[in-house]
Amino acid sequence: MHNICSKRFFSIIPLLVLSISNLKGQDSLRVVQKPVFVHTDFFYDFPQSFGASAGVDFVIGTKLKITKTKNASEKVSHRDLIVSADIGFYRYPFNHSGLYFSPAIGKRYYDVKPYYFELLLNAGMLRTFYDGSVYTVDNTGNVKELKKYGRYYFTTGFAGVFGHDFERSKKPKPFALQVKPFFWIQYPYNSYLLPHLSLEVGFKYHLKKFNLPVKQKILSTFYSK
Amino acid sequence: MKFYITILFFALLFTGCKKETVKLSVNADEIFWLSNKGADMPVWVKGNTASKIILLFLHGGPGDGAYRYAGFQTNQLWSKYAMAFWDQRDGGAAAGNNNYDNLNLPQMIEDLEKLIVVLKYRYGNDVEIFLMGHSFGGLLGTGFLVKGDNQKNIRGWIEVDGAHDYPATNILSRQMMIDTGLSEIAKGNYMNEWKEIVDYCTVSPPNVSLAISTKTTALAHTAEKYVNINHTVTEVDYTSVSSPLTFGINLFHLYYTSEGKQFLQSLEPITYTDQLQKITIPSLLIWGQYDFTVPPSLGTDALNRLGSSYKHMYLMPHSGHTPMNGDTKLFAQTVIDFVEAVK
Repeated sequence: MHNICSKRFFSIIPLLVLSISNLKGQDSLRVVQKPVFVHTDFFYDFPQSFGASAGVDFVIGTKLKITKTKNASEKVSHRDLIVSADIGFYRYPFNHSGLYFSPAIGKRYYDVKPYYFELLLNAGMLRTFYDGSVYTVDNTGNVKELKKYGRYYFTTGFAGVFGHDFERSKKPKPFALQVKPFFWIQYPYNSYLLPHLSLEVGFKYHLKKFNLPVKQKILSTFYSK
Repeated sequence: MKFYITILFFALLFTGCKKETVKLSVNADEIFWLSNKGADMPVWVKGNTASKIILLFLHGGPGDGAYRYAGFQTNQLWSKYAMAFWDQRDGGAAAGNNNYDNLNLPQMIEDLEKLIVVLKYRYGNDVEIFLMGHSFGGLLGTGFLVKGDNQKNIRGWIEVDGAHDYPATNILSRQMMIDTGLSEIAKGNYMNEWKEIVDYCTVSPPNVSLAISTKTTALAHTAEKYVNINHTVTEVDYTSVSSPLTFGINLFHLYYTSEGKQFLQSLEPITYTDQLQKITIPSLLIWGQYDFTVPPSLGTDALNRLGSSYKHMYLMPHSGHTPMNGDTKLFAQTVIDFVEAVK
């Protein structure tokens, strides 16, 4: 008996909320110009690999959400669907150097402030080159030195990006600074996988004429009494 | 313009064909790799390559990696000679793609054979190579030495707490823990801790599964804490060459996945005791007096069986399974005396 009463009470709550704050929404679509950024980054991979990367990122879809609150103020938030592609290298002393290509897809979140946050999923390829000479010996005992020898690996991982877009500052400049910690794995590594923890500190530049027309979906949401 | 391009082309061509010559040094610090059957294995060479004497370190585990022994444990040795720290396949910093099908002892012995060839190719045919096998490296080194005419390329064999007979190691390890445990309990030392160890060793059947063997080994390491030895912590030099990630993931794969355990299980029945008389090169056996993992009695037995005319065994009085940690100076001096005597 007690249980049934509880269920009724909780099922009524959403109806009460809706009746108090009547939520309304309106969607529309338009085309906007979104910047294409080129970037260059300093790369660190735990524990002792250092390198650099360069790449490009651009928006392929965007949503603008305008929320009007009860006191008539407006809250604006953006959510961009972005694609990026990086090429980079690192050196792990006394072990190997790596050359990687890493395309990614993800979302960028920001509002009126010049800060942004991105979540990225990437899948790419890594080529290693061992430090020092690499030898192989055939069954007759002949030694052969392998030049520029290493291995190919698939890579995949995810990253969070924390950035400051100076283009949206009070005194706009066409660049952004960002920090990107990310976790990725390389495989197959000894028939298994090798996890990595890396950090990139990057500088992004928006070339004036580098813009792409993108369809923007506008979501207007407002509350009324 | 064409003239300059032609000159540049031929310059690059001849540079590419030129064999890299390795400069011998009294203070070498270099790395090279052996690539064999899907595994790329790094070899870190430290010390005096100009001495033309190389101590090739065969690490234990399997999977321990060799780099962790390149610090204080051996620096007296590589100040005088060169030491080659080889990470065996799928251990330490060794890399590769899909190579686990080739992870077995015969393949590792082949890797070692090829590594000897490369060392001679790289440092000259007149270089004298001493094998130093620690723990599992004792099994690998013995397996290499009793095969074919491999001994002809090796000047001396240094076995350090080497497990050249896994079944005997398991039996002797349990017996040593029971004997020492009962003695320590009678003296009133660490009574609860020893009772737990003695109980397990008394009840569990010897050497029937990897699980029991692994547990016995873990207890043997623990037992070292309850006797009066020098517990110098092994320093791993992460800042130079060894990545804790590659090292850790290789160890994890070996000890916590079914394919890794399959390899470990394949080692359990391996014994070279009956073939020890085939080893005729000068041999030095170094054992920690309190090694419960591979007890000194295994070394004593090996000393009697080795076919070498020059053979000696030394016990390190403050050591357990890793005497280069416990008796660093004495260990180094014992090795130096041996090398100087037989080089």
